[in-house]
Amino acid sequence: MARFFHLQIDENSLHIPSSAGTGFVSAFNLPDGLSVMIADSNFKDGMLMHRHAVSNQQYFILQFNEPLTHAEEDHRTSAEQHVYDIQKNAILLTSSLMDTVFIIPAKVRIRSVKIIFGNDFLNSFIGNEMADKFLSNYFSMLLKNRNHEPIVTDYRIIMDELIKEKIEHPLKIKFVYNRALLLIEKFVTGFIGKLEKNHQLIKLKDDEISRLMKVESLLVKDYAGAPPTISALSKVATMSPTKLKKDFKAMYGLPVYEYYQKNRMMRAKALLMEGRYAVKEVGMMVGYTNLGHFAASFKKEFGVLPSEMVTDHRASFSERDTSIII
Amino acid sequence: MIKIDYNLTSYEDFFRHIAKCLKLKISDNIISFTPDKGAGFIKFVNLPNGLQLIIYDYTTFEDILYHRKKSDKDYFTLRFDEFTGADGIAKSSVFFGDTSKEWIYMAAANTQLRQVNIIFSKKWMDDYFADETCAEMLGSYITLKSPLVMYELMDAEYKRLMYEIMNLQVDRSFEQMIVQNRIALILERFFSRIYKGIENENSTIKISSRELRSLKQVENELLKDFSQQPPAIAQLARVAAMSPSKLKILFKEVFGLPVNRYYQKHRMNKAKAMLLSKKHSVKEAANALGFSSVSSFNKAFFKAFEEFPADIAVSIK
Repeated sequence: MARFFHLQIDENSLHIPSSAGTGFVSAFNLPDGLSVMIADSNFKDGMLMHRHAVSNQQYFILQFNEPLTHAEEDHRTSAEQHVYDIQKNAILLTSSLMDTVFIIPAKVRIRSVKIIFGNDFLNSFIGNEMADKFLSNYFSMLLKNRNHEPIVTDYRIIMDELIKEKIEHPLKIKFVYNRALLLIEKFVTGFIGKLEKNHQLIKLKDDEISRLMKVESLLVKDYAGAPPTISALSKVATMSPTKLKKDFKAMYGLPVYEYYQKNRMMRAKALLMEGRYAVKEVGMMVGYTNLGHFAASFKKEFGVLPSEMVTDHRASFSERDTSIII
Repeated sequence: MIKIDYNLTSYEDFFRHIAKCLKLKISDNIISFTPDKGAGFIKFVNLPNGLQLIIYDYTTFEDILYHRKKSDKDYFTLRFDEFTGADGIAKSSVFFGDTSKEWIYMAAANTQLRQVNIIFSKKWMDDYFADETCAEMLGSYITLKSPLVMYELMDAEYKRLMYEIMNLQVDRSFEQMIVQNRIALILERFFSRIYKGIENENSTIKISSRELRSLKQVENELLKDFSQQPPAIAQLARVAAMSPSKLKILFKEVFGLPVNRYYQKHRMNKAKAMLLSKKHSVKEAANALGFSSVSSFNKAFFKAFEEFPADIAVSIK
């Protein structure tokens, strides 16, 4: 990509020139043959990225794409096989043996994480048997275009940690590697879990799914104010409130406001773990004016108080304990 | 009391050794306690990335004393331990150190123990740090602080990760992946917290690597022989080739305690270890550690552990 745009790569990261758009792309080579590409970009022109099939070597590409704004939908291209609109296929696994085309829309800010890994890696990660079961089921469903895995907050939090132009961490490679593995873990266990529960997600239509994704992104966009009402959301989704509630639960596993609350607490936890904010600040950032309410909700979700997440225990430790070094 | 003595650096061998000492059977890398001995399990996990773990979640009816002897191999253990007594009060700690020194701990009867212990070689750790920007700083810090690099309370995030490892509710094919990923997060978190700690320390005082080596020598000299009076500061300053006042400042900075208190802490640890091993009487311990009388030993011991030497001798039968 750097060559295409005639750009200099600075360490692991390149800046998109203002003639083409805004944002950055960075890449990391990691242990076990993994590599990761991270981007937060907004291109002026739409792009088609065509990956040609390679037959000598099989590897997999797992990508997570989150558009922050929605472009007008382009209906012309979606019928073809192995052509993926990354706005619809937010999470997508493809193989290097397939000839694939990705549509990247113009003037849409997209945050994305792509992970490339080999067959051997997957086998050692989950065992041959499970790897076979996973891949064969996944790709047969992909052909039928039935794999709409939405980006939920679990994923989003990990993506947020990765999508930074400069990752500041003393163990930067481990940091990226561990998060890539967590993304793969969540994706694989999530898929197998759904497969085993024979998930009803399949019944939803394509455009219903993309409308529900819009609802979800609106719901979790901002916790500082009150959440959007069901009727406001049903307008966005152009479905009746009843249908919205039912389909939302089918797709995201929780009723609308429980989902909102859970994500709000996860956001709060992620903010606390960053270690830059006080409990009170975090409470306000996720829309609590009453600190007691915040603490109680947090404890309900995670079993510990927010203050217990941030206490530095080093100072208070006494060694009157059960183990002794001689 | 059941005593488990060992100097193994392979958790696989150690795991078998535990089963033998407890007279329990291993099935599928799990030791399950029989109802006459207690409840719960001990589990061994060998991860493909070269780490070995033992996961403990058990309550015994009899005290178990684990006693690790010195090992001449360069290995490190990172332990997350939680003890919940019959009173429901939980104590938990994070411990990181190498295997070059003797080490004991007591699993008291009727206490619920939950532990995740990880062992790896020095070489494994060097490879882990390779290619990372923090490699040099962390490497030399760990060498300096060894054998006891870190001993602190366990916080909520460690506990969460530990419980996720202990209470796996997933398809068996996924177990190894889940455990490996959680362990990876634990290690990443642990080492980056150490790193942040060093950064903060270094902001106040700068210490050269030559000075660090000198301090290490001073520490050796100080803890060499507890039966004699500790070396005077002036003498230690000569060993370190620095002025007494500089030695005092740097020693406290690096080891966390003033020279004499550091000496006293290790002397009392030694005392407790001697008593726990049941090979020595209170009087012998007092003599071996250079106390002029049993009563002054009693006093010092109480100050350190809030219990008397005789309590330990009595409470462990």
